[in-house]
Amino acid sequence: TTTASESSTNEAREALDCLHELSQLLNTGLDKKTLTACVRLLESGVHPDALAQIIQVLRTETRPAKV
Amino acid sequence: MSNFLKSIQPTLNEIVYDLTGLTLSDRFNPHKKLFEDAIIHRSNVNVEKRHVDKSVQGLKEKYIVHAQDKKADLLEFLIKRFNNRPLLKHSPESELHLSCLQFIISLARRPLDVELDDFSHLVHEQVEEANFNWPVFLLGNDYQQPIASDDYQDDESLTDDDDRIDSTSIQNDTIVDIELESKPIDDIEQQNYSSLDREILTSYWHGKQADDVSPALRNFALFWDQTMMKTTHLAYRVNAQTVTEYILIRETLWLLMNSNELHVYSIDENEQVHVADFVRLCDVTPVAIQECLQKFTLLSNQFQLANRFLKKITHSCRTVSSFAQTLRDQMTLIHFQLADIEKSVLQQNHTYTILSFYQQLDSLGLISKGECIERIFDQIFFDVEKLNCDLTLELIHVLYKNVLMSEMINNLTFFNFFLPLFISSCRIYLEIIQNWLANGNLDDPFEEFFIKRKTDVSVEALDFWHQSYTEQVENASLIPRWLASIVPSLIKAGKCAEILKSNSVLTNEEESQSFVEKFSQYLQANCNLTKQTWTPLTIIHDSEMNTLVKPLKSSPLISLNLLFDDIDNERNSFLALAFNQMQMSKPTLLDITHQQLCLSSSINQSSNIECILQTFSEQILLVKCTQLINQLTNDILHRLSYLKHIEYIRNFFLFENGSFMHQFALRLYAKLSQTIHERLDAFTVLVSFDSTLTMFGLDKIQYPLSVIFQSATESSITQKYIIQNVQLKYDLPKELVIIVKPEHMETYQKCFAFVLQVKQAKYVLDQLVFSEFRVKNRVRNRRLYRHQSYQLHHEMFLLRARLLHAVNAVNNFVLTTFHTAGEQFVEKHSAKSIDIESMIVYHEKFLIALAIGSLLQPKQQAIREQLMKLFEIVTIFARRWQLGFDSIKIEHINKLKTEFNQTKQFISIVLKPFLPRMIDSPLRALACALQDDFYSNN
Repeated sequence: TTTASESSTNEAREALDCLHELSQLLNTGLDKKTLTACVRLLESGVHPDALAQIIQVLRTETRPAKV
Repeated sequence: MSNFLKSIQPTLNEIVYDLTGLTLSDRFNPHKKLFEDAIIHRSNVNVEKRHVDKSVQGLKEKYIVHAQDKKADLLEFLIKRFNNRPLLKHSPESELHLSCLQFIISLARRPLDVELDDFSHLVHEQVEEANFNWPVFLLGNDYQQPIASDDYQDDESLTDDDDRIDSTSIQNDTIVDIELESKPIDDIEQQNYSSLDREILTSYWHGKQADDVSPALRNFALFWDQTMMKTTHLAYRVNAQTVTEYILIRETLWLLMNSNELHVYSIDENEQVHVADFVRLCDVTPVAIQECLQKFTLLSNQFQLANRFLKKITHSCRTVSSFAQTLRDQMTLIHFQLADIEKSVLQQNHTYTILSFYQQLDSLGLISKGECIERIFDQIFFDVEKLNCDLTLELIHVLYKNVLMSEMINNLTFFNFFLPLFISSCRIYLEIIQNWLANGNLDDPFEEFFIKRKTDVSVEALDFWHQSYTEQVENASLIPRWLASIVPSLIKAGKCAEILKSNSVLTNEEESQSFVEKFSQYLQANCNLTKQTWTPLTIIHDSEMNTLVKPLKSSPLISLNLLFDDIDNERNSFLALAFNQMQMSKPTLLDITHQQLCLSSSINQSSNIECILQTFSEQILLVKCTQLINQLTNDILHRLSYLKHIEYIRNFFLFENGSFMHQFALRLYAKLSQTIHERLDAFTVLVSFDSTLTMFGLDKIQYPLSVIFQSATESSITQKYIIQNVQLKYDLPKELVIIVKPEHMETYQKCFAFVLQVKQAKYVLDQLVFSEFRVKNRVRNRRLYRHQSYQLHHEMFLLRARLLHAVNAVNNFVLTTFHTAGEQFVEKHSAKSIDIESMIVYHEKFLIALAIGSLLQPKQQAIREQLMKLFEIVTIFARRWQLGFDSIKIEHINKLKTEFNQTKQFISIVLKPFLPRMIDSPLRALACALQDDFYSNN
């Protein structure tokens, strides 16, 4: 079971790494932590377009503050 | 919806904090409306693959249009890699993967501006994988150097890997020309080989676990291992923790072919062996090893159930042996199918994957066969101590149930697996039945048949018909319906066969086909079953005794005469020979499946298995049983002339055809009336019988009837003058003892004795005349009429009349009862449906009726005693009369009258309940007759 849990952890890590690489290639601007949270939301059943919209709105709202 | 939002709120808060730095709480959530609107708005919208694919395609085209082909390739590579990995317990290419991809694509911001240099390591991996020739490397021939990417600058690691590969590559011939000499293996491989602790497995197509495999087979095993061994070095190349699916397929094949365990391993750079936990497949479809192991070890365990059972050389009975024989054939077929897969795996132009391997197992029906085996061994426990008869019945019941189930769900693989097993399990029953009906002998040395012959009841025993055969199983409801419906006829026929055999008249058609062959024919014709040939029972039995398991050539489609078994021929290229000679090819399986599909879709429902078996049992088994029963019936009726003997018995014992017995009886009565003070003796009886024979011109020696007189051991005071102890002896053929038993003859004897007594009473009364009051005594008469003796004569006359009336009533009752019963008996035997069992029943009923007529029933004991008393009164009265008029006194007559009145009154009271009966019966007639005595008040 230890081996199994380790392997599943490895698999999850690898999958998220792969997604992060994709995310970087597409210049989404999400770091790993945020991306992980987003994946959790998507797993819960949130529509990806809805989540993308939320993030875009949040970025838009905070852009003046960051600038 | 609010609950859903509440559940995801913490994660949303995290994201908001990451992006904006704001900490949200329940009281402070300026984005609540945003969340609700966005999420609720799309809550019922699904993520569709085609949209995602379209978006990805759009991106790629964008890259290509802007001359960024490498980015497009990298995008495709990364998406594939991502899709092929499980994500948070979701399997690859799940909906979550689609959602993530859609999410990222939606958030893409100016992807054209991204620098590729930042992803150089990925590009390198992508190029490597794209250019590597997996199939060639796996199959091990014409190995080619991997083509390095032009963009890749640093070749050092690649060179090292190449060297390693070069050091381990083996120059092989093509698979067609296989050299069988031992190939040298290098140190690394030797080490790997020993560290894995592998055994060279015996050939799977031998079907037995023996140590003395041919050298050629050893070489093959070694060659296989050597060929496949180098694929482990792929682990060095790609990932220290990966193995190829090819290894998994190879290992699984060995596992399914009854090897000990699955070896899936990897070897790291330090040449250490590790259990692999991840499989990287050559079609870039990674599957967790646990999933593979789960599927294949389940199948392997299922096959192991059969293999463990088949390892037992001796079985408890022939049915189980026959079942084991067919199961072995099925397992051999499975092994051949696996060998066929192995052959495909070695082909050059075929890239084998786990998925295709599993699909092929499924298409050949091996997955289903594993399920079948599991079903059988779940439902039957061969190791539990139980009687053979219960075990065999349970086996047949379970197999039959599964055959019906597979037919009902229209699963042809199940059906084709279970049906031969079912047939082979039934064959012993059919062989036993065949032998029983053909030879009259229930040969069941292992006591596996559900009917048992009681050895302590011989065929000549009186209770043979009722006690000889019993059903000996614990649960008779397990007997299949098609067999259970004929069990009563079967038992009857078996008894008939045994009787006919003991009478030496059992005949059989010499050319009749065995039940087993007919059984097979019925099923072959209707279920498209391959022709089955049966190893004779004796051979099975002998092989059991010799503890040898020989490969049996039961069907040309299953067994092979493989040339490579010739172990002396070292140049035997058994690979090519074996695989080329395998006859159970997939098209054949497909044809069978196609035909059975056509049959099963037929509207005519009578072709189902239950109807087929019912038809078989009615048309074959039941017909044979009926033939035997009819044979015995005809033998009894015609050869043994049963009805003729009954007719004689009726004539002799029951005075039905009165001539002979009437004359004999008259002689006895006459003798008795002459010897007033003496009784009958043996001499008198024999002389009377002989003179009657002479009168009718009959030969004493050939006549079936003779007479015996047994002297009374005690003198009977009340029945002093009634004929007793005269017995008839009738020569009945001993074969008829099955119907007419000795105790029945005793009943006839008692009936004869009673009739004799009734007729004696009638005779003595009939003989009484007032002879002394004839002409020569007219003078005396004149004087007498003037005296009071007239009254005496009158009383005597009256008493005689009354006695005669009573005796006639009894005589009528007895003879009417006998005659009616006899006529009913004859009428029943004229029916066409008569058989031995009904003959036994009718005869017993006949005897019951006779017993009633003779008042032999316990309830009639009182009446009989009174009738005996009546007969005694009659005989005393007659003797008094014959002593002479002068010796009779009115007191004597009065006394006799009183006794007669008492006797008659008693009988009337006992018979009174019969008076109101509506049905006219002899007993009612007797009751009426004794009731209507006008002189009873006197």
